[in-house]
Amino acid sequence: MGSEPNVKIGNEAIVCAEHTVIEGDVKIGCKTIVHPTVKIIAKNGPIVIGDFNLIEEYSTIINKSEETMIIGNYNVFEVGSYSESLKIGDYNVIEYKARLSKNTLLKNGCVIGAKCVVDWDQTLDDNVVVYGPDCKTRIQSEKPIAQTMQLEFLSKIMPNYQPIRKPNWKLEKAMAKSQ
Amino acid sequence: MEAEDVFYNTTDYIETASGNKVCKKSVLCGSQNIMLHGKTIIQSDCIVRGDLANVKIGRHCVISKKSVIRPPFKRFTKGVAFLPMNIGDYVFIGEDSIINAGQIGSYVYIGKNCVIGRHCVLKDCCAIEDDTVLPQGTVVPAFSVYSGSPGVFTSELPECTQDIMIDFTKSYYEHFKPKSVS
Amino acid sequence: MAKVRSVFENNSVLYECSCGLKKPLTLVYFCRHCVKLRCKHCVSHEVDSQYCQHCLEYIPTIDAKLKKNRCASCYSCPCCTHTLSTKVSVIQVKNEANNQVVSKKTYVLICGFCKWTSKDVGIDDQFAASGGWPEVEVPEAKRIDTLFEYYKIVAQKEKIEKEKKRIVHGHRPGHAIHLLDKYGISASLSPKVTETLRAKLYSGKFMSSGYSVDKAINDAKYEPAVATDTCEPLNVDLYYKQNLNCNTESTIEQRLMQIELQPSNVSGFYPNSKMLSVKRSLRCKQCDHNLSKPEYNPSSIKFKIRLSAYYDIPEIRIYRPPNLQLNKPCALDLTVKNPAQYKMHLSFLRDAKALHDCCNVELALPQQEFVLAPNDDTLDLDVEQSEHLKHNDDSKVVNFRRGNKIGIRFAVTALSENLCKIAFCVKHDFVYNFMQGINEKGTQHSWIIHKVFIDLTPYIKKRET
Repeated sequence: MGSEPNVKIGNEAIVCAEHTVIEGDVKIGCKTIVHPTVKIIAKNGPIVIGDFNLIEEYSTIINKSEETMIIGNYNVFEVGSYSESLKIGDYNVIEYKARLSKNTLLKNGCVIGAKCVVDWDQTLDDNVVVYGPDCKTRIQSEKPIAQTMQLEFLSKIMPNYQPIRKPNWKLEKAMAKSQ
Repeated sequence: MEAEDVFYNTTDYIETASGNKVCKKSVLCGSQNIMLHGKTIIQSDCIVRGDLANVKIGRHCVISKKSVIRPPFKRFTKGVAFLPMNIGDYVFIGEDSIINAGQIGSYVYIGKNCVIGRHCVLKDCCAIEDDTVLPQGTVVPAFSVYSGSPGVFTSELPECTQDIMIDFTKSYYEHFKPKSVS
Repeated sequence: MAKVRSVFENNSVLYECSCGLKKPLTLVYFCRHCVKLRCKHCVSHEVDSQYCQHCLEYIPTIDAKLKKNRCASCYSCPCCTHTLSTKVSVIQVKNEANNQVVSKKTYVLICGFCKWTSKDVGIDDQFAASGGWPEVEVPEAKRIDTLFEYYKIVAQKEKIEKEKKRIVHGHRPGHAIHLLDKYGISASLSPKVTETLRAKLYSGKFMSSGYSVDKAINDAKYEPAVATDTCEPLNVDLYYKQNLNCNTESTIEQRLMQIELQPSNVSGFYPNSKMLSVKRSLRCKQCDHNLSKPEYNPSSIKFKIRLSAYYDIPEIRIYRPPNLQLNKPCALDLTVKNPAQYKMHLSFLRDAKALHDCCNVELALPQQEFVLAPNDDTLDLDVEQSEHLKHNDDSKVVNFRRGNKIGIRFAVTALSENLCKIAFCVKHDFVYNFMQGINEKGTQHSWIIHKVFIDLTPYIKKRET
């Protein structure tokens, strides 16, 4: 751990310091919550994580390619999930122990079910649900709801219990707002 | 087969007055909210999230390596909260399993690499096969075995399940020994 | 094989049930009245109560029958079989009368696994939390019902004929009326038929009762199925020329799950009522005593009667994996546990028939009788040494004693690389305390001999090739 100069943590984001590994050129957006034991590793290309994301224990987000990995807003990475996907839109849920390969890109509102291993060379359309051991797909009628309430709740209680890495990236956030 | 001896490094584990053996390499967040009732083993790389809500774990439980115990999140019409999690006595939780359940009874066996989703209820005397996914809200009745994804009822447990689990978890504890320093 | 099984069923040591099947000890019952081992295959099963596996609600038999053994309030997902949960959302409703806006709770069924919702099939949101979900009209319901009715009468007729034979042969005639209800057929028959049957049964003129059932069949006019000539032509284009959308086409499993509707498109999925489960009691076929009787409460783990062999028969386990070498006597360390509250005397016997079951192996059994200490949960387990001396054990045979457990060493010589199964008899005493009269207690003391099989094939050390 330690404070790598390339790790930028946005305003009001909660990034737990305990057993968390963040390496390389990583930007974490504002109000995003990173639980302990998470790995975010930008091996070659940078990782840009948007706002209001929830990244739970033992999740791994890793960029092994030269390109930039972009993760949008309001996504949830549940416990034990693993993602190499280069482009994830908004409102997606990667459930427990699910795995996404580099070329599986998500638009918005997708759910990758628990333990699904998705290594398709394609972009999943809006609201696609992948579920079950055979990774069946269907389209849900509504996108998953945003976890804003959970994020708010967590950002209140988590600093009481564990060390948090300080946000160091306010300037660009202000720019984003003015856009 | 009788239980085999499992040896641990004395430097890695803390033994409490009530006989709990907790690995120092586990992550116990909000440890003041975690209650272990005695003779419970928590192995390396486990995560117990006491910071989210109270976690009570009964007597003679085994929480194997890399498993995650995490109180479930609940949205009410007014506000949100993480609900406290209760785990009964004589419960075995296998390696790499994620427990997000609302309630786990006593004499329960959970295999390795399982996912127990939000607000699942595991009654007394039930078992979950290895690699099972229980989606949120699953209820596992007494004397049943659930497996698959989504987890469904697959078989029954014998009438003497209670005593088998007591024997199994007790002998696991007895055979969980410190490595003798040579 | 999953590890879960191995915890609850020790498949390396098998016990022979009195019916001849070999089973792990945890699956065997011990009938204290016959003093014999029984298993699920040789006892009669009786349905005690029905309950829903999801809401764990006890459902009386009559209600269960009315609902076709399905739960009235729980549904499973037509898409993935997971149980649906209700999701609450609050909407603003304008009251027509006084134009005020009030918030109202609405409920939707949603699957936590594949995210199917009741909105997908166009079911309106409900305003009550439980039940009230519209039931789907099954197109063939009427025909199915008449067929059911018909076959119920046929079943009734067959049963009465069976009963007639029983009475002729003089077997327990008192049981007839009880049997009538046991199958639950009489209650669903027309009350008139049952009434005559009962009247006949009581008056003892049972022989002629078949007549009324015949009459019932003749009276009701049941139409047999008729084949038609008209047949829909096969639309080949549907299979070859149209683009299939896998997301909207239903799978065979999904169609079979909704057997009455069999929708071909996912838009036709309706919530499936959950099937009920049963609690069973087991009864010994020889002596008619209960071997297992659970409590009615679906989530209770207690039993009124539980005669698992686990509580009466000493459990034998392999202590540590033996290292078997070909044609060489090797040590096999076993443990024997006394589950009973009294001192148990146990010895190993060679049985000619059991020996026959042994394959390519020579087995030397310890000759002496062992005394096993009673099972005492409160006992401290650190008294190993003194116990060893107390029983004056031969240290060549007895490895250790720990409470009610004893470690015993056998000598086994494997004669083949591919197969090594041993079989022997265990003889031990069994003390049974029973109530004699009102306040007197009697003690029955008997000896039991049963056969035990241990498969040692996985432990043979293969010769280096």
